[in-house]
Amino acid sequence: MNSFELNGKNLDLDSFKMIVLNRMPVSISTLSLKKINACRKIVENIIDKNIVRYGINTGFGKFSSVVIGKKDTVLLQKKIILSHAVGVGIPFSEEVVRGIMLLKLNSFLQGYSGVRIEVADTLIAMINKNVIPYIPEKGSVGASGDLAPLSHMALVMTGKGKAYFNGKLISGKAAMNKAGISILELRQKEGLAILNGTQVMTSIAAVSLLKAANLIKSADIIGAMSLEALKGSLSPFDERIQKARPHKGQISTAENFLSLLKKSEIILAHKDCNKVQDAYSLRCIPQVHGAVKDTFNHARTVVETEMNSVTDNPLVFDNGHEVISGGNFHGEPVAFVMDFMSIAISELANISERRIEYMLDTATNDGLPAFLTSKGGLNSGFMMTQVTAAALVSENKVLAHPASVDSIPTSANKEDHVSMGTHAARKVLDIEDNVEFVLAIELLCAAQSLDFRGKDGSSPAVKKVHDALRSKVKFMKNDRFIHPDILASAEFIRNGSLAESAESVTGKLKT
Amino acid sequence: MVVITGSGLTIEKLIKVARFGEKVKLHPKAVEKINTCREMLEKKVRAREIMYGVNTGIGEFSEVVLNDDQVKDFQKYLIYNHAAGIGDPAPLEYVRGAMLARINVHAHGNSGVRIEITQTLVELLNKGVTPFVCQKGSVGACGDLAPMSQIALLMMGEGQAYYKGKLMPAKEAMDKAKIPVPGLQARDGLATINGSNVLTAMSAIFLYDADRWLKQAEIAAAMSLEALKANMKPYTRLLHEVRGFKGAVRSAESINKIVSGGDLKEGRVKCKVQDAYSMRSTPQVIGAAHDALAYARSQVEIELNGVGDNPIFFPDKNMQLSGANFQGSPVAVPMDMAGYCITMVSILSERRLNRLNNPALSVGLPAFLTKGAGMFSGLMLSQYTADMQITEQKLLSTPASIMSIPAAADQEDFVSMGMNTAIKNFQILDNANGILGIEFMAAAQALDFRKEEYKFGKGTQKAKDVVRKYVDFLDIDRPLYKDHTQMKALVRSGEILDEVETIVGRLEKY
Repeated sequence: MNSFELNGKNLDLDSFKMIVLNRMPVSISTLSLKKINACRKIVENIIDKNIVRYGINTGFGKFSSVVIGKKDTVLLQKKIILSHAVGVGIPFSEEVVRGIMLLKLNSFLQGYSGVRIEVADTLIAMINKNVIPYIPEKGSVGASGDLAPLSHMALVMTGKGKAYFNGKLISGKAAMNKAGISILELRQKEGLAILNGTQVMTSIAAVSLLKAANLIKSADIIGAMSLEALKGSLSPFDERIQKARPHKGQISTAENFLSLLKKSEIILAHKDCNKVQDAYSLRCIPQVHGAVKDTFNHARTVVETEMNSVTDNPLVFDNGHEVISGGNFHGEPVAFVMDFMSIAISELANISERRIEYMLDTATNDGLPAFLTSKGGLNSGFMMTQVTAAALVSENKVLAHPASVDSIPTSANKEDHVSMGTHAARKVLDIEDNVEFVLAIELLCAAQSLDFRGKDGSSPAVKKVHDALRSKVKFMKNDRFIHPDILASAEFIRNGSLAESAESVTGKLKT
Repeated sequence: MVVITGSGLTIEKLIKVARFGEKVKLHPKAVEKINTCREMLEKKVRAREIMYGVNTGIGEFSEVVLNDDQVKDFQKYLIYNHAAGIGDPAPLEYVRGAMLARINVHAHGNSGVRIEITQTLVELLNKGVTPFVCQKGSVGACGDLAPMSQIALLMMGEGQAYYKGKLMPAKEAMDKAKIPVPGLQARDGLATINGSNVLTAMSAIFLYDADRWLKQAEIAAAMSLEALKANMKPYTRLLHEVRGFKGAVRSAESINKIVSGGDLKEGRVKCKVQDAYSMRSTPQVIGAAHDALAYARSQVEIELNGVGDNPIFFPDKNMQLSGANFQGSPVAVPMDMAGYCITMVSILSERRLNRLNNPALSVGLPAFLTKGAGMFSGLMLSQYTADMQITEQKLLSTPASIMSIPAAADQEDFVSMGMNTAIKNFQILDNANGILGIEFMAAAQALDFRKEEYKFGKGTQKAKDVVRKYVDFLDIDRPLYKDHTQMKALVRSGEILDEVETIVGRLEKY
């Protein structure tokens, strides 16, 4: 397999996906190597000349005015990692942790963090050999960066803590030995450089955006199926309407629907029917799904900037002995867009749940049997799937409460405003899990409806998706244990089969 | 006349004084207790005993001891620097309620205040001089310092006050009302301000209004149920007794009273086997709100009759203790709950409104309650008005009691934020009046479509008649904002409730 050559500025969501999810190996550019070495020289010079600089030969945070003698500077690095390795909860997933290591590595490559090349090499080896530190998910307030979780990564780098290797949780030292990676002894500045930064929230953010991209696309495909199932009108997707209000996402959504429903006989058949206006959950899909796309793209820009940023502190610059202390570790930029994503992704499920209801209710579903089952009364059909969707949507409303507006002063008020960005990002993942299930339910209902309508009238794209789903989940003639159907439908969305089957007809859909 | 003894102050008595201007009087025993406590305090002052807030600074400055000359000036500056509120004036009834609650604290004889201060508060109430108090500025611990300080300004003849409907300098108001200025001596300042009396008085007023609102929610529900040809079996008392929640029994019985005498209740109208939740579970939902409000009332009444002050003096033990009885949390927590219960019942009301409007659900009523579908849209947009108010209520239902921000250089590092609870509860209730008004209007409209078909319950008929005094049947579309606003005012006035209760009896009695 080729490797991806990092230079500190060339990561984006696509390369993140290749490295983190598809396990492409990484290497670093020659220029980055030079920059790291040059920066380290400045640090060593400061140490040799006994110049006092924050983070190199001082304590941290509130203790920044305590000067640490030369003989203790290495001990200091050990202690900072041990004392900061707090945090609680279940461990982060493998992909989030790979992302954390990747982002931390990338942040060193601009040569402002003052670490030795050995530190970068250790991370490269851990990524390429898939040594996954055990990092508890709770404990970061999102400034000074993700101190607690990053400390757990640093523990493994230095032969302590715990790590997964070949699927097993073993001691950090054993994992490093088995992978053949030498254990690092941290020198001055290095402990702080590793554990100070926003890599944890940014990795979660990137993972959540990758997931969001699939959900956004899936919502269009499933929405198109529901539009057919409900004999909805395609006129609200007319290009002229979108051009009159030219939000990019809105235009893309309408275009997606036009290609998904191209040659749909169901749609054509009632082109001139007497229904003038559909309900908002159908008619306003371009505006709602579109606004979600716009939000996604904004968040993507911010997160991709952060992926190529140096977020530790202090930073070492090459003229003279400049060590400048600032606040690049503060997670607010990521926190804001993650809060915004919470709201946007929740909306995909809010509107989807309404379409589910629309299909189940005989007052609105234009001739489909109540709850999409024959022999209603004996069968309850899809009645309870809407209840599940409602519960998930309600949970999302609570989860969509912004995390970034909270802040609790820490460290004896030295760190008196923090971002809470890490749990802002974590809850996006929770919301996305719920949204995936709601869309899975809509997909089941739409497919069931189209089976009642006679699927020959569907557009080629919808037909393709419908057939693909039916190879996993059968038409529900009589009531059966429905939970496995929901899981199968969700998996069909999650693993990309849904998007793949639609795009095999329409070509790439827009996000 | 309400006689103040330190105990037995109920929400109803507070309403009489705060809203309806009833006079108050200190019980002679209370006067005696206040004097006894003051004597002990003065003895200690003469003995140069160090007492927090008497001869020390306050808050983070509690370790600074003041000399005799400083003690008196300190009272003045204490009130000045605490009069730090902001914004629009609090309604007069909140301020009157707070003064009454403060008098009742003093009446225990544990505050060390001079009787002149307490008597001045009594005079202010009885002669209708009401301090100008900014609504915002209290974090709900140490009590409501900022707003109470604006009351305390009057003890020095300073600040502003309302008298006979006019805002004027306090000195002028007190002169006109012939109330002497008592001045502040040692301890008097803190004893006037250190308690959560404003938020407690506001909570008491809210609970009174909210109870009346809930009763009206039952009347509106009963009207909608009759218009929607509901199955009335779910309101059978036995059903609620076997589950055992008092609020649900009360609510079911209220609805039964309102619909009694009508054809639906008597089983002369055909209905469904099971209705939707927004109809069928009305007693369980409104009942849950009754139970929550009952708990909140018990907490508020404990606070109204307790010594919410600091430090606290015990003359019989010759002792003073500094603690934190000003912390507003015991009131803030149940009041957060009381507030969101009103939101919850508003949501239920909107769902019934939806059923009245939606022809798929309304058992034969015309779509959006208009005969001229297409040309007319009837009450279609009324639902929008209800909905946006509910969303606002949902935002306001986030609890304030979990929102502490450290103050006073971290000495007061946890505060109750009970004032935020109290303020937003009235905002929730204000919207609730608007939402219920719309249900009343829709239900009356629906009943007019049914009136040839069957006879309504006595309470229902009366409620509809009252609505029709203010809002006509919507025959052809007209601008609805006036009707909505009129109905909101009607719900706030409680006229429907009073009229219905004269016919069917008190709704809370079951």
